[in-house]
Amino acid sequence: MGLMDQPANPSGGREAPLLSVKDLSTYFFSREGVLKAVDGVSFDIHRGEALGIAGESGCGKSVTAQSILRLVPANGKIIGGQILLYRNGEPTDLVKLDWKGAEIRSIRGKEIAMIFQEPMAGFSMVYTIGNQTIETIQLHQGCSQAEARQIAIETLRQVGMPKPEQTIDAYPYALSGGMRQRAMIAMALSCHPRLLIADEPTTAVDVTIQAQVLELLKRLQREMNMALMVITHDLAVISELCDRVMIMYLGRDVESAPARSLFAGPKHPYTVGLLKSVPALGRGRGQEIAAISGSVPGPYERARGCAFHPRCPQRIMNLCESQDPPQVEVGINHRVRCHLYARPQV
Amino acid sequence: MTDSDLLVEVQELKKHFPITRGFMRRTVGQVKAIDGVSFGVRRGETLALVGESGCGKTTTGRCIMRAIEPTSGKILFRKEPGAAPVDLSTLTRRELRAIQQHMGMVFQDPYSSLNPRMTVLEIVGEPFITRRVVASGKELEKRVTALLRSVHLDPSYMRRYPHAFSGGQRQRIAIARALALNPSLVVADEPLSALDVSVQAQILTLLKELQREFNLTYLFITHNLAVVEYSCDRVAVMYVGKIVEFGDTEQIFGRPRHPYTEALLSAVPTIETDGRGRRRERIVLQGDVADPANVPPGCAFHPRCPHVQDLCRSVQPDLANLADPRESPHFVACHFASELTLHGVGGARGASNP
Repeated sequence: MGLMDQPANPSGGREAPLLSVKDLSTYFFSREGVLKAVDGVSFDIHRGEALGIAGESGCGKSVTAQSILRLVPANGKIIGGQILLYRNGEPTDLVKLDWKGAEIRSIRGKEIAMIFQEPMAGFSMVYTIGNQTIETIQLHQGCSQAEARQIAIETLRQVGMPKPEQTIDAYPYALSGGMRQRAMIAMALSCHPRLLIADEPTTAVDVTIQAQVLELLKRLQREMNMALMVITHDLAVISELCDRVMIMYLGRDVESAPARSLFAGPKHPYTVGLLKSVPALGRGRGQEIAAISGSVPGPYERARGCAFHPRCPQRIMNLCESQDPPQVEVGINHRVRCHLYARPQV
Repeated sequence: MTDSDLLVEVQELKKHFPITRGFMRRTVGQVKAIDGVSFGVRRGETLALVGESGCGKTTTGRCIMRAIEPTSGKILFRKEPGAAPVDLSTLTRRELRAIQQHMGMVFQDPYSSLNPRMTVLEIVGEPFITRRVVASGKELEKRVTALLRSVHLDPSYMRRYPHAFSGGQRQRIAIARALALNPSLVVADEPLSALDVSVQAQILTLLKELQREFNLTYLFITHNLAVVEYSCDRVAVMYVGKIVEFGDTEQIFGRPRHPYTEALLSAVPTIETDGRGRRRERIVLQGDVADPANVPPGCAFHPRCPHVQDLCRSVQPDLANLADPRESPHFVACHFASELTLHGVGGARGASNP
């Protein structure tokens, strides 16, 4: 299954991870009830590793990222778990920090940076690209305006922006979608973060621009030995970029594995369904696609037991609808939350 | 293939939007959204219009519906095989209304294409009411029930409002509305893009099923090449207002003849299922899609083309048939199409690279 040639690290366990998320739960509280956006999710990201988090709308993948940066919207709260950021081998629990305190602000943008789906939303319209990038650099690196400007120009050049000396003074609306996405990546990279979180980095751009952005992220990750966390609904993007994958469904990490073994042998019925539900380019008209029945339920209509059981073609009567599935290790670093794989051992 | 088998025939269609400036709304330029597009849609087929944003695919679809007025060109529509063609582009509003019932449209975003203040019964039933084809409320309900059944929605929900439905169910409602007057042509503009991955397959399967059941012809506007390969008979690839390649999907995907098509196919990320590395080198095009307000001279693709030569910078290539006369036509607009060896994606026929 291609597991033999996995490197000892990532996830080999010798070196401490860069970021370790343990049993994270983030809930939202509103008049309609409690929404368990993230409900007991655990994963590690090592230095230089790329982790992909995939799932459909409402699965909690974006809230996971917001929790790490402590930017959860006001009606949400991290109610449990740990987010350990290792600095020189010393863990800092981000959950314990004050969300607007000095310490998290020194981490945001410096140690952990983020790029967003819609690059227009990541920039302010009334300042130039340069203004915004220089501000970040000055804040985190404490250098002069002129030095910061030089660093900004260098970073813009690094992401392949044509004529960076001129584009630095351009306003975001004056750039095309692809260029804006590059400027956004440049701003995120300007302080050499150890972890870059990319939330749907290519969803809003065209196919040929998507190819450019994917190649760029791959190259930068290699050059800067930076860890990457890619959040997307497009499994193909993860297959192109990531070493590990975590599939989420309604706040739970239903399957987590090295990318190669997950795509070669998906285990959870939801993962299997997701992979079958989109046609793949190059397989012709004869390929079989199969829809997952039903649709993602509303946020307050989560099923008991395994949340996926109402849509699952392989559900086990009298088990899946009542009991939470356990997390089972089905291969090297390959974990699944599903009763199907737990039964033989019971 | 004779002309009378074509349901729609578009000839030299152009749509130029004026760029105005200043207090007097002086015209200072033209956005050439579509600039001389010709193609035919055969009865019963699914024809895909593909391309990146700004290539004019949506504008083409809307011009055919006369939702926007074309600048010039003809849109010939034949209600029945062998019937005399009607040029939609010259009809008056009143004449057009009579023809428009033969066409339906499905939009990308089912959250904005359904009026939140109308019930499903009102939304799906509206075409019957505006055209006064039903006599009573009872008959209207009967018709709407049948339509909802055909898109696999429970008719007992017809008095609910759109907010009560999920994205996939809303798209089903939009499809039911498009089919209300029993059209022969359905223009579907990115009907899957706004839906969750697991729901896309449901809508795709439904569209295929309805095509068989009601003998529909689809004009499928999309940027998703995997969906095109899976569900469309023929494909027209557009770049900055022009068709650059047109022919059978299998032929074009297996062996593209235009460098832009090759690059598009190569750019699509794929899931690697066999645990080995990527087999093909990706072609990454430099730069952005050209600005339709300022189209480069010669071949519009030349600033990004890896095979560019001097000729391309000055002379615009014509769309020419390069296929063997025994095969189905394969139109390409490239000066060097017959000299280039381009790679497609490995389909069932293995027509591409080893």
